[in-house]
Amino acid sequence: MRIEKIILKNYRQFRDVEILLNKSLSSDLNIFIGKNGAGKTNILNAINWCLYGDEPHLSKDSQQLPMLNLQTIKETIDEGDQEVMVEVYVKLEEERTIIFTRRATYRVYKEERLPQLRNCDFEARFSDEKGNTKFLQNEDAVSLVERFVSKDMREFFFFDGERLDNYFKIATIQNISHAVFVISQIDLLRNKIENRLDTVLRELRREAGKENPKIDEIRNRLEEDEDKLKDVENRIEECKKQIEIAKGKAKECSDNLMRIPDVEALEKERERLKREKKSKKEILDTKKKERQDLLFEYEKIIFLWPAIENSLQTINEKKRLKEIPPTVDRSLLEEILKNKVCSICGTPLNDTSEKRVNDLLQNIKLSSIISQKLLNMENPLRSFIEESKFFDEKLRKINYEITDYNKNLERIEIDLSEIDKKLSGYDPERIRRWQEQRKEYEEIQTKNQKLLGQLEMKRDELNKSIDDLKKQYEDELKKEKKFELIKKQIDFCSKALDVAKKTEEIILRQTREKIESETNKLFFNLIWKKETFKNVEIKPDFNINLIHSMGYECLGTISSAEREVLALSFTLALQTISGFNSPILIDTPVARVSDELRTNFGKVLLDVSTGQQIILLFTPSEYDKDISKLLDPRSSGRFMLKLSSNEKEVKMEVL
Amino acid sequence: MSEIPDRLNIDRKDRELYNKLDSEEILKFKDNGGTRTRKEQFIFAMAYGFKLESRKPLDSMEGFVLAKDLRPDDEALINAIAIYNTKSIEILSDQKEVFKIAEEYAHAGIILLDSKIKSTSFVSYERELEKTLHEMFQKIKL
Amino acid sequence: MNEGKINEQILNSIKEVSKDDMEIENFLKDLLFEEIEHPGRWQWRDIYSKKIKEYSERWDNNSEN
Repeated sequence: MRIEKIILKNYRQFRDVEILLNKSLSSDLNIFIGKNGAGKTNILNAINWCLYGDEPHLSKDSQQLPMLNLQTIKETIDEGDQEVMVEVYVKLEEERTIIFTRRATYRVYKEERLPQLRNCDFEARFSDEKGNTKFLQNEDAVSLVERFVSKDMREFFFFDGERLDNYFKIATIQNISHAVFVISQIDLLRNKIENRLDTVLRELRREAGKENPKIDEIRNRLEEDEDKLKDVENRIEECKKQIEIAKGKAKECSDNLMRIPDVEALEKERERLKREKKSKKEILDTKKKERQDLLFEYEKIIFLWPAIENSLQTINEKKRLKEIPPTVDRSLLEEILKNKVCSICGTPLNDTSEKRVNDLLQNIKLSSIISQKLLNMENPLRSFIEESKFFDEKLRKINYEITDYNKNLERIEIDLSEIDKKLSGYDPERIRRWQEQRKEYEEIQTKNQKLLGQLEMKRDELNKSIDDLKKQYEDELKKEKKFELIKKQIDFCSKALDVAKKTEEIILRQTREKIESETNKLFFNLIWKKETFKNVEIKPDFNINLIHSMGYECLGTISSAEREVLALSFTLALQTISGFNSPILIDTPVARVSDELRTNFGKVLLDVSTGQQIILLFTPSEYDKDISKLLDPRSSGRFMLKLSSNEKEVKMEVL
Repeated sequence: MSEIPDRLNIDRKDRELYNKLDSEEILKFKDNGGTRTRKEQFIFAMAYGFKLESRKPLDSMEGFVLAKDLRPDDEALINAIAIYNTKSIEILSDQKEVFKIAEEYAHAGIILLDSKIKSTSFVSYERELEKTLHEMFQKIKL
Repeated sequence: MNEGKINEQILNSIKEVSKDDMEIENFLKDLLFEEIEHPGRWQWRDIYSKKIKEYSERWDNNSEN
């Protein structure tokens, strides 16, 4: 089944728009591009409103606005009536077209009131085998819709991208079991046939009981037990559900707790790093002091170098000339000459010895003070010269050491800040709450497990009692010939009910298995990382799992795009199994898909469109160069939605 | 022989400049949290004045370093400056004059040092000193 | 018009579970069709009772296990 055409009159932004959805030989893909607010999602709403009478995807803005087009309201006289109409042309496999039309008449008021709904009707029209046009109204038309995409199933066919992404967050066990239930048409069996057979059976038994109080008593007890059994079975279902919920919530808490850092270990590490930092800092400070001392010491040597060198040269020269050290003390000679007596032996000087002393004195150039000073200077100055050779090397060494320690300290700082980052999200209060909650949920699970055990035991007891009572009942009936006929009916009805229940079980199991198998087939056909995953599982309790090739469940950790492919595969599987072949309409299909996977997902959609009608609604930013390059050549129709400047109307441009 | 002076003097105004040396860790006086003695500071200033070939007579006199605190290498440097400056070893016989030369170099030196430190406020004086010493050392090596 | 599809599997399973009990099988299939033909409110009690009478008359108890 596909949608051929949609006509919208006065429906929200669409004042008078006709949308023709063509298909080509190779694909059935129609693309709508429009900014948010331009009416894309309202195309989805229009289809829903026409077929089902409601608008499940209305934005908050649209919810405030009347359904009647604003420009039309503006141009209508006070208390004038206007009609909203949406018509959906549905083409069936047998080439027959059914036209569904929903109309709503609104009265417009010029004052601040919203237009009031006056009338609404829904009609289906088609041509029969003879070519005559047939009309179905309201409830009958609704039944017809139910045959194509039942309201229960529509969420699996018409949905927005966000739902696709959230599929396995929102689609809990209940929703999936519901889908299986609806698709397998078990609804008819369980809620209609079984319930009604049960009602008729009870009535038959009551009838038999009227004639015989003993039979009636047994019947009463039987019915009581059957009612109790129903109640216990309901409670068992509820119990299982609660266990499932508690398990899920406990897991959520565990997941949250797992994400918190190993605080104790991190704190220990942090302390160690702080100690290391302190010690390294101390050494660094020492090294810096060393450098200061080095520079301070060498300042005088290097700045006074010319003077040092000069003095040393002088000293060397004097030594070479043997002027230092002095052989005779000059002041001694001067004293001898002055006193004319030798200070050493006490002999008075004669002319010869006086001349000799004078000559000696002439030869001594330097005073003893000066000589002594020069000699005293020699060693220190030589030390300075010697020391100076090592200046560069010492400076280089100390600088290297300082740089090294600085680098170490930097590394420690980085490590510390990493630890701080890890610990910053650590809120002990929240952690304590999660731990408490997890404990609570685990307790709920345990409590319910116990209760479940008790209920199951009770159920077994009741089943046994019911079997016994049934046997007793039958035996009583057998005793009297007049009950033969009614007994036969009761037996027949009982057996039919039994067969119906067993059939239901089988169908559910088969449907579930088929959906699982089909989902697997589709998923592995569509997904790009085929080797990463092993299989998709739909358990008997309708829990859906994606198993990694390494054997663990990975539904919670796959990317948005992968999740959407799984959701899409599941949907298509539902379609195949249910036999409902309906268009798939996706609003903003790649908005939540990360860039590099968008084209992959686009290819998936393209693939699917070879088999059935796909309608995609993109925002301009979603419909980027890459997606456009991929989808343009293969699309059978592309439309641009443009909001008028007064924002009251949308025009559609065929691209 | 002239009298032997028992101390090295500074100009009274220089006292404050020596105190301001505390702003640089490398030059800080030991009594104010650093490690340098007044003698070391004096010789540092003296060497700086010598490097810049600047001598300045003192306007006033204030005892700063006791002669008895001078060690052989301190004396050697002071004498070397005096010899270099007068180009004669005879100066060594006039201790007063030797000290005067040292004092005048130190006087010029401390003024110039203070000015230098002020002008390197964004880079530490230590960095400047390191750079200068390294450059001068390269020349000495050759 | 009967455009609705009956899940063939249900029909097959009814046959399988009935284990050659033709009356039970036909009875249930009959009910299935009735339900599909009458999706809204309808007088099911009468139809159900009538069919039970009809089929049970033809039914051979001894064929039940």
